Amino acid sequence: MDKKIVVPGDLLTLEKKKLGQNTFLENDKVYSSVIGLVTENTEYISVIALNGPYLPVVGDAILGIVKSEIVNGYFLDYHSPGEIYLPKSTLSKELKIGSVIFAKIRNITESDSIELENVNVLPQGYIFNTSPVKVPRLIGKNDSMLNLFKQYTESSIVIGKNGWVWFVSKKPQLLEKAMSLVVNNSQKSNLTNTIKEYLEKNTK
Amino acid sequence: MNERIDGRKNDELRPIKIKLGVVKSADGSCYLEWGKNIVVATVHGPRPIFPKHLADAERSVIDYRYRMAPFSVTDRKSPVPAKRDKEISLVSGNALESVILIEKFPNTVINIDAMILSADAGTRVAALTAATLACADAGLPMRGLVSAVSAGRANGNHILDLTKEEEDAEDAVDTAVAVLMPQKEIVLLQMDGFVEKEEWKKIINMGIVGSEKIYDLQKKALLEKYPIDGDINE
Repeated sequence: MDKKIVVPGDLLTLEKKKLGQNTFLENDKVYSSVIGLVTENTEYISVIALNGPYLPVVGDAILGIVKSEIVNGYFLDYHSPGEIYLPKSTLSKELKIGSVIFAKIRNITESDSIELENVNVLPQGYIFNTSPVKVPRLIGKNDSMLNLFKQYTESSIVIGKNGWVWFVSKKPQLLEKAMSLVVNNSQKSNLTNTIKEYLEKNTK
Repeated sequence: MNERIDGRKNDELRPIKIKLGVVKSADGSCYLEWGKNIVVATVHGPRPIFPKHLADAERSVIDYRYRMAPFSVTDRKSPVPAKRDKEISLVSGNALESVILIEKFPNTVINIDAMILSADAGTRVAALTAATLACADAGLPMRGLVSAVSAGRANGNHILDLTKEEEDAEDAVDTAVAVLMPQKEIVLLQMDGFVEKEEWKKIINMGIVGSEKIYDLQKKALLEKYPIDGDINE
């Protein structure tokens, strides 16, 4: 399949296709709104962005970091324009500033407030920060990339859809480097094999 | 036919170098050299806006800051923003506001900073050209790219991309033109000087044609950051 990178304002197609993500319609023609890879099927034409902010979606599993506390709850950062309020009543233990939680978005209210469920408090570890658009690449098809990371760097890894990755590792620098490589080369083909070779080379 | 001071043809641009993603702590960034101009543009956002009373529930607010480093010019420029800096910031911000799809991020701000590190005329168009790339680098959804250039008159010639000496000529006319590409919509237009109506049209057209050349360079720089083939980019 021929991969094509487009930039904002590039004409995508003159055919009558439905607008997928990161596209817009002007004068009856479909254009890309971001820098990314064009992808289309019979119905839709979309652009997979190569960078961009996180926009919360119900059902997403995300990581949040506690940034402040009030009497009845905590405010969390979640790598997005906005913050999440987490009531203490939903938690079984106390959190501190800097605590990391992993939870699912149960609901987004009309006023754009986010309600979480299945909140898990993660133990102390490292956070790797990247754009949410890179998350599918870090996970890989059927978790192929994620399993490579766990196997070669002996790590526990939790990836949030909002572009944050929590990890505890016996080889933290190698893991961080490998994740950076995926993030900087996400548009290339055959990436899983290339990363596997890199990890093998650096584990000897 | 008067030759230009630096030997360029009337419609020739100064050499331009572009590098994306140079400021790692920003969401998007662009380093740009244009002749002797050096500019670094960064984008942070969309992020929560403070103070809250400035928030707009229907769109993101664009906060564009054009600033010149004190050492960027021969006579030290005070870091306190002058009226000129505030005006350039206002019109440049308005230009990008019409291009970025701000309705997608209500109650937020997008901070765009364009810092001039070395100045030799045409800094506002260099800044806007770099800022557009920083926005695209950050993954902000946009209708296209803003390509900007200066055009005008000096020493009897109608010219593209004026240098400082040309700006200071006796008969100088200096126009800043910024065009949304590929739609060819003018999003910024400023002029210094006195000119006849027909001449003015000629200069504007020169600016639009010149900004097409800038657009090609911008596209090239964006695509260069993401090569499909080749070795892993460490």
